[in-house]
Amino acid sequence: MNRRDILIIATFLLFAGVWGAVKLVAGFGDARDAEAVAEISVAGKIVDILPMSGEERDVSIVGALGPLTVRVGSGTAYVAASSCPSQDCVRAGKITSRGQCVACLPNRALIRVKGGATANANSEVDAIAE
Amino acid sequence: MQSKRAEKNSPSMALMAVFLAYALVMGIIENRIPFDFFVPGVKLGLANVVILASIYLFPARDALKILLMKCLLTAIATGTGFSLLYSLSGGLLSFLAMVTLAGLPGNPLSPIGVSVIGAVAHNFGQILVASAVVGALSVMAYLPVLIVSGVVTGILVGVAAKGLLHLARRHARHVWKKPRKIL
Repeated sequence: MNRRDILIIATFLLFAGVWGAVKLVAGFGDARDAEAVAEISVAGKIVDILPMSGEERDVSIVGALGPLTVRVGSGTAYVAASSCPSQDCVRAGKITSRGQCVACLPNRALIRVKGGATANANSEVDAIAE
Repeated sequence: MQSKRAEKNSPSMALMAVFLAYALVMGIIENRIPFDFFVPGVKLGLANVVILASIYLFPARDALKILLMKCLLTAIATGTGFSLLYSLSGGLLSFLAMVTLAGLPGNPLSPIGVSVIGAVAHNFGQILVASAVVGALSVMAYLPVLIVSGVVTGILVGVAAKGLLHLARRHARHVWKKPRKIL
């Protein structure tokens, strides 16, 4: 590893860090009055929008590959079951804060949180899942 | 005459086959030992160790052949149609970046730097395709996470590729008449 390698690594890390920091700071100014909702889309088309408060309930949607069960409630949303082979979307776990999303690429499905509070700096990273 | 020249300029079919086999075995190992404790779906890119070494050892078109065969065979063996799309989108972008950088005169970057840029390019290619597949640009919000994971996996892969290159140069010196200078 030479000096230029280290320079490139530092540039990438700086870029990622600044992007992350800007996202975090930008989130603070936004209104928190809107209720958090989970927006579910398949291939870019919104199929359902559900408030994330209240009791947990299951929503069945039809993905590009097959059925997908999304569980929404108690301030969280996650993929409870999926017809995809890799199951990365299920393993990605729960999303809670605005801007977070879980994707199931084989099903072309995307669940994202809109409105409500933004993620904290120490919130868990969730995933882009194949 | 023609065949003689081809023989001089490109590695033997057998050597390329060995490297392709290495790449496939790396892919299998990676499937069995998941590395995505922190971010599900993130891969170490072990097969990239072989691809990166091929770029330094073989002419670019032969390294490209190994990459394409590796993507195709992995998809046939384990994947779906979609997984071929992902591995090609990331793989080709990464390959292009690495071939360009490894071929720069004077070798400004070591294999580790080349590997880091290749890994980030790979992740960038995949997230582009992922955005198109789910039809939402908001997936791009994860690019910072993917850049950091690309840097980490890129360093690990680069170190491993450097080791492989040392071994290849030591044990098969007669094969590469004029091995490209590295390090």
